[in-house]
Amino acid sequence: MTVKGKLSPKLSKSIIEALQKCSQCGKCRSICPTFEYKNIESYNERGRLMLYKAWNNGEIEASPAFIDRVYTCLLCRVCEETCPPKVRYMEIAEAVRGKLAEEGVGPVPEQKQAIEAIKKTGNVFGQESKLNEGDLAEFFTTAPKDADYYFFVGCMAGRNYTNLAKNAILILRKAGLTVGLDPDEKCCAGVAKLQGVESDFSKIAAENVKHIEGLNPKKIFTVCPMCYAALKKEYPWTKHIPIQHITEVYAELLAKKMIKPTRELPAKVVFFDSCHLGRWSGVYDAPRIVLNSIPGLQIIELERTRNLQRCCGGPIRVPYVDFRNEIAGRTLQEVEASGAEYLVTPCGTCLFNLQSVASANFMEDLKIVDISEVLAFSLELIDKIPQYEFE
Amino acid sequence: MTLTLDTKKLEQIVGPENMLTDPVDLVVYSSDATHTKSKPNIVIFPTTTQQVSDIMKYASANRIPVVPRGAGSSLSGGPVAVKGGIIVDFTKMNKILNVDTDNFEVLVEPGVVYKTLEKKLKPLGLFFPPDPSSQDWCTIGGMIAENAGGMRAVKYGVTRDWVMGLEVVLANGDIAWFGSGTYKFASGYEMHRLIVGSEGTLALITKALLKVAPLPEARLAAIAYFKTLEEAGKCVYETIRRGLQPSGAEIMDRLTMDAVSKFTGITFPECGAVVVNELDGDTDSIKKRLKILEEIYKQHNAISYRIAKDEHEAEKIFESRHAAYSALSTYKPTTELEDVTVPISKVPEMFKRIEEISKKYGIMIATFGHMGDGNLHPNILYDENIPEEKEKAELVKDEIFKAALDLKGTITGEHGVGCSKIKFFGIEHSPCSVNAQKAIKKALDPYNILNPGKIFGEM
Repeated sequence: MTVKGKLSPKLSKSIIEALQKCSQCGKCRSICPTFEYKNIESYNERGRLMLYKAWNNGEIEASPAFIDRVYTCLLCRVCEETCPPKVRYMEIAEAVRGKLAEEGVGPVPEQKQAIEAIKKTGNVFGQESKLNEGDLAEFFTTAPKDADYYFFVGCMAGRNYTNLAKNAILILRKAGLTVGLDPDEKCCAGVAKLQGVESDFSKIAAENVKHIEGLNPKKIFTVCPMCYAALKKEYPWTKHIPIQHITEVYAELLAKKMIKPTRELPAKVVFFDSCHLGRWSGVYDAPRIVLNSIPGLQIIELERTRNLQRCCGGPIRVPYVDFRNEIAGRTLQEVEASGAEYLVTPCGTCLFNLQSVASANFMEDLKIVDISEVLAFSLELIDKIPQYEFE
Repeated sequence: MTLTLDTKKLEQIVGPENMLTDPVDLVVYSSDATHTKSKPNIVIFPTTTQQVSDIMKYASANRIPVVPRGAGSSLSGGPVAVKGGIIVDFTKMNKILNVDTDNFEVLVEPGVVYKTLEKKLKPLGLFFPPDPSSQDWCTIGGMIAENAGGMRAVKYGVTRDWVMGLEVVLANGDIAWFGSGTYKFASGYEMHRLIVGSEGTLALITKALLKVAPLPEARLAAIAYFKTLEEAGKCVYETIRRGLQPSGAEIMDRLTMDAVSKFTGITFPECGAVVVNELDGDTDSIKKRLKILEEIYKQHNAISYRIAKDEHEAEKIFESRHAAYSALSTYKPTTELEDVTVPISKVPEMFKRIEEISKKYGIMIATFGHMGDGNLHPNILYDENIPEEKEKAELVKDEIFKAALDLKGTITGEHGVGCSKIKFFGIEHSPCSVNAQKAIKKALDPYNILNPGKIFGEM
């Protein structure tokens, strides 16, 4: 794994300049979730930036410890929110990961496998089946070009947590809208982007753009915040197609009174701002509009909310599951202490990770649910939440 | 640095989970908030006073340098192991041991983060007044070691004024208690006050007994713009003279304003200086003092001023001042932040001198700071990659320090000497004064193992 450090700088001039913006004040100590867990300086933004600099100038090698510090970063971007000199951390981290990938020492093998699966099968789980061959088969009723919305389902809702997709479709149908799905949908490749494998990401992004534009959709929505951020912020579209996250669609339908939640949910609820929906995409209000529309529901805002929300730990679950457990565990404890009965997420990955950790910690009283589930329940489209029980 | 360290021995003291030896970690612990760099041989995280004592016994017997560290937010190279050795990171000794509301005292371990203490005290209607701008992450131990100040020092003083007693581990491993749980104390030397600001060179702090104050009923913020720094200076002087007891009297010069504007988008009117004030206390008294403050603003030809109507507006007012350091740290490739302090009547003169120095060398110097207590932060802005600029910046620094000393000020008001101001320490203090201080150091640390290379340089 160890690669001898070279004397010539590995990073571009603009990235080195970005690195030098760090004043080493240490404020990231107060916000970084991986530092919160490890309490070791090399696990926060300042420390990681110092390591990138030292590695860039050949002072240290890409040793196992270096690789560990690089890839345990969640890329949650919370440090960017409070960083006094506004260091563009993510851009730097992606560049470092890109270089490590080029040198053949990154990403970690488990993440490499995920990227290979995407390249081979078009989904992160490596499933050979098409999207219309599973749980969602019955919903392939309208072609994307004929529908009001083309639904880019994503791997998680398409193949694992299919209720996330079903509820969204049911709600839109209730509003009198048609939803088109594509059996040949391919993963957004956001994972490759996060891992710095830019070549794979841009290739898949270009193919997806070509394919989706060929479907001639009027509008696109996603339920997965990572798909949303990739499609909305990174894809090289040649046509203008509006892209929304499902919570933005719901907020619009509520404003136009096309849906009206009636069934009461008299409960205290904490909303969990997903990194990709919040910090990456700036969507904070739409999900709160949705929750506030539900009779009886009361939102509790914890200290770390909105742009300061602590990541669920999901991005580094594989292979750093201890980090995920600690990081999600902290949030869950705070939610439990607040007296909330529900923790609502807008993201399948957050849902899975928070549920797994809550389950492992026997937090049976806390119900962790997807935002579409809550809305579908209040619209009387489903009768029981949570739909996904603890194992 | 060739030091032989028995890591096994240290492992026996703190356990393998509380030590770092990987080069990746040593690189990261080689620096603080300055760009001083020097790698330690090992970083250890003690969890009890006894462990600290055992570490010191080992270090003393083997003459190994020991450098205490909190959050590494020091602005003088304080926690940098310039002679290698052991970094003792206190962040795992982070318990608030007792909150005594009957006597307005708290007992804490050194690794408690300021903000954690603040959160604990607030619901009890109390606060710990020293307020460094690193308060979200700095540790109480670090604040004590560096005698940290802050914006409210003009009213509440600095960390030293709020430390009543300290448990420390001496260089030979002895555990000693200095100070008392009483406000008045005339029993022997005030050793605890000597330890405050000693930058880890005399003893390692393992517990601190702090005085806390009742939270004021209200706080009010105001901002005023002046044509010149002199007018602003006179205005601040007047607020103090007339007994307004401001809990904040901050100033920024034009260059700082321009940097803040560029960085945050906050706009300022055409002016040469901006003053940000805070008044705290009970509502009636604030009202009364506010009236006088407005009078003073007018008398001193304020171009305009604004009083915050609520907490949100107060935050807005302070936002520009809070952004100053960050804004300037990105303005040019290199920024050196100093903290010279002069008697308050000399503040306008100090500003004038800084301006002259800037002109003389053609190097930008942006200044903001705590005008109410004479503590200024000139920021030397240049590009260290250009040798000529780097050379000039050194001369600029020299002249700034000399100007402060010439005005009967000091080279550092709240950051400490560390390793960045050693050269000027000997200029500020006479040989007799330095020798007396060195004698204390030698008495408490005969082998010079406690944070060697700081304050005095070589002993």
